[in-house]
Amino acid sequence: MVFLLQSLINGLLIGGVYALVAMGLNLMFGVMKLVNFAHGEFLMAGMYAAVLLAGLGVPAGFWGLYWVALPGAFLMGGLGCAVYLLLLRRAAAFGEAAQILLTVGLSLGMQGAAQVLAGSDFRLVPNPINGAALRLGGVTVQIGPLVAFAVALAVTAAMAWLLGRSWFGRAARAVAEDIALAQALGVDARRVFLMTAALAAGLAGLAGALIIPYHYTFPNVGQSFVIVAFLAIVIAGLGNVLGAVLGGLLLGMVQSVTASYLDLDLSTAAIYVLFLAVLLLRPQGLFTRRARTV
Amino acid sequence: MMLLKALAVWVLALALGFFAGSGYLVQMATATAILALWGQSWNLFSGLSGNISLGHSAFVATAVYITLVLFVRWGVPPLWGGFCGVGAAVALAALIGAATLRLHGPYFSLATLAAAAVVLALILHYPDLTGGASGVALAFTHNAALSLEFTDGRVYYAIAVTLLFATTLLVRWVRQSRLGYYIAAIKSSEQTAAAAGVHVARVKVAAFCLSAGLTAVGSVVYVFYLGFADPNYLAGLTLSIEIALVAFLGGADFLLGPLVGAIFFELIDTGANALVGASGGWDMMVLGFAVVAAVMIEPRGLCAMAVRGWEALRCAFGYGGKTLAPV
Amino acid sequence: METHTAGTLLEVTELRTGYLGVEVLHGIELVVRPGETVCVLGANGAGKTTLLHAIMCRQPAWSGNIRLRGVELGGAPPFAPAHLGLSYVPEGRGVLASLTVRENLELGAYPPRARARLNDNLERVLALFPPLKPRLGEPAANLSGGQQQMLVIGRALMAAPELILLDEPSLGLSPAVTGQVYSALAQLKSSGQAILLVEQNVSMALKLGDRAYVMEQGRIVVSGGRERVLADPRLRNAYLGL
Ligand SMILES: Nc1ncnc2c1ncn2[C@@H]1O[C@H](COP(=O)(O)OP(=O)(O)OP(=O)(O)O)[C@@H](O)[C@H]1O
Ligand SMILES: [Mg+2]
Repeated sequence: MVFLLQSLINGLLIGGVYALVAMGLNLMFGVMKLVNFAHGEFLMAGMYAAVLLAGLGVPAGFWGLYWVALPGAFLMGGLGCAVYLLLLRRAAAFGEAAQILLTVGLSLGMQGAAQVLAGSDFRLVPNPINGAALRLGGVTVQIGPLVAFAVALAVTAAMAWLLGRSWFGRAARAVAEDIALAQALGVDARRVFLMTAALAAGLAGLAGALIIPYHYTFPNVGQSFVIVAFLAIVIAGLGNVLGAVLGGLLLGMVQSVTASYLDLDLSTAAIYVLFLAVLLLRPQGLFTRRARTV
Repeated sequence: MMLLKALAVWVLALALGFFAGSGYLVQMATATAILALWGQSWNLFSGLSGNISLGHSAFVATAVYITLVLFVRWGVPPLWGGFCGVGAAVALAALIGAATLRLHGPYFSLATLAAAAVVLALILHYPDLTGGASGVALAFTHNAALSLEFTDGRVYYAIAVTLLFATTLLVRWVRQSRLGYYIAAIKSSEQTAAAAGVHVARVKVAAFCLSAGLTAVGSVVYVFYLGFADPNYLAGLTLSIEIALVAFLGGADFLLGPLVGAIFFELIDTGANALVGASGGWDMMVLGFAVVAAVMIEPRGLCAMAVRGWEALRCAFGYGGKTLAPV
Repeated sequence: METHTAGTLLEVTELRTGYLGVEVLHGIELVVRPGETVCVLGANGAGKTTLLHAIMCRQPAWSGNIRLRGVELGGAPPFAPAHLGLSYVPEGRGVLASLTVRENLELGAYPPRARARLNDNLERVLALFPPLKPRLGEPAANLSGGQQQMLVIGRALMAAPELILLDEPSLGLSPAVTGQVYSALAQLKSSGQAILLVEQNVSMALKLGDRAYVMEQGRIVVSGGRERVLADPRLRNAYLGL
């Protein structure tokens, strides 16, 4: 019983990270109708940015590492803007197939570039957060994942506000539903796309920053997160940003439970079976009623 | 007539291989032929229908590992085991296709991408059966056709070239057959195709299975030629992207596109290896950014670029002519 | 050729445009003055929607001018007209179905010039279309056809536009609902709102309009005051295709 509870909690905490990654993916898909297969590489690049900054010096204190990790998220937002301006803006005219190959190529290229620049070693910045834990009854709660989870929840609330209440959010949802109509109302779709790309990449970068204290950094670290996030957005419903959070948390728990009772490798297969089942039985996703929303 | 010409080219290609000896050139040619065959198979579904598979390595790895496990553990001759492997790859394609191909949107690409990751995870999870991350090595001591063991590399070259020709002719035939028309109709508009009485999902699944099966056939030959199975390569994202890139780079709308793409790719790859070495991520980086450049420069591929250049030349010399249809 | 006068709100001159190289509008001339209600009438396929799309910069003009208070609109990006004071009610149901009624209305006030007066305008719109009031929190998809049309017109008014362009607001509505929509338009007109109204429903439109243009195959064939247009035999020809 305690074992099950422990693995559920572990899964929930890692699920927060999946949720951050999946939210950005679904935001981009909802607004730009584009699956960004290079999304995981923004997480990876965010981690490397943090490792690089940490190499220059980490502020003292228990929470010091976060101070060098978080700027990485903003850097990734900037990188997202650059990728939109240089590639995605023009590629929008090329059709879906070309866009998919474009982002896949970008994904592979960024992984290769990371390996060329930083080598394929697994890196972990020594820090006091790693290994620190709270003990509640028989259950252990690691501090690093707990912080990541708490931030993910806060970001979810912020995103709910941003999409639901702000001018940007209303404009983004209008663009998602009908771009020509949104423009007739005065919405500059290109600016919405630019901000969407920045926000999505920034969320992935933030996920990378949050796992820095306890997760190794290596060139294809993004893949292990983004593949779960891909499956999470389909299971939750494509384009449904807040649903993606539930999808991420759910898959985190499914993965953790299958990993603790069976094996980590098999958990990928288990999630995949769930994914196929959802597609067969409820293709619009578990957490989406009918119409596709942002 | 066309068949005769193809036959002549085939004989020529074989003859060239045999006179070239067993050296580096034949090795490269074999690898190119296999890559072109994969690209051709990929194109048969993804290129023609516009549903991009990002996980053809799942079929490569499934076919290879089933054949190898049957052979190494239970002594089933690879020729027979190969059939089981190809059958399993087709079954996997049918499952993925049934779940995703009746839906609009990126489901198919996501499902194929993840499928390869699952196949890799499974291979790594059963090391007793599959050899795990260290792979499977095959030691060849003698020639045995039934075991696909040949000590002379030229035999593999001949098989690869023959398979490539057979696949190309098959794709050509499919493009002109009713299935090909259905696929083309589906690409331009699924709704119109469905309204015209095409069983959209069924046609897509059938074409996808055919594509996976052809990929699998090439893979079994390839792994016996290599004599070694590396799971991280055979079930990896890189291979899936290579396969898609080859077709796309050459031009998905052209019958010989994948061959052109494969030759171009091998040249770049060899050049890059000679310059900076195969390791350290350079190969991945070059491959990835090559895809980006290819899409940005000419989303319809090298053949389209060549046709465009040719037309420009003709126009410059005062011959008008048919131009490439707009995208 | 009409010349630009100081009192002109919208002025279209010699406008040509089309699709895929095929010209659809062959030199349109049209003027709307402040406070005026102007109708554009014509049969299916005459090019009325294309004209509105060109004015809203959805469709690039091949040649000619579109001026709003003397400022050239041609070549501006498609979001610009809204910022300059044009509001557009598209053909068919133009609601954003996944947004709530309130959010649809709020989006109407997206241009910065309208945001400051959002609450005043919201009250004005709800007074004009009382059926929307109890349904503000619901998804727009839940509204009936007539209510959706009210919502779209209301959304256009949220920008406090200088000129509102309507594309066949009576399309697919029952006569009773059409009457409601038109009485709202009459109220707007009496408040001094300039209106450019595209219609196939000639009798409804001409009851409201001060002036009208009749389009036939991409050309203006009749223009003038309401009585003159009503009396002109070419109006009937334009519809019957004689
Ligand atoms: N997107 C398009 N692509 C190609 N041709 C178009 C397009 N839209 C309209 N047309 C053509 O342009 C012409 C004018 O069409 P338009 O929609 O402007 O007419 P309309 O007067 O609004 O008709 P209706 O009363 O049916 O709305 C028609 O011949 C139509 O076929
Ligand atoms: Mg119209």
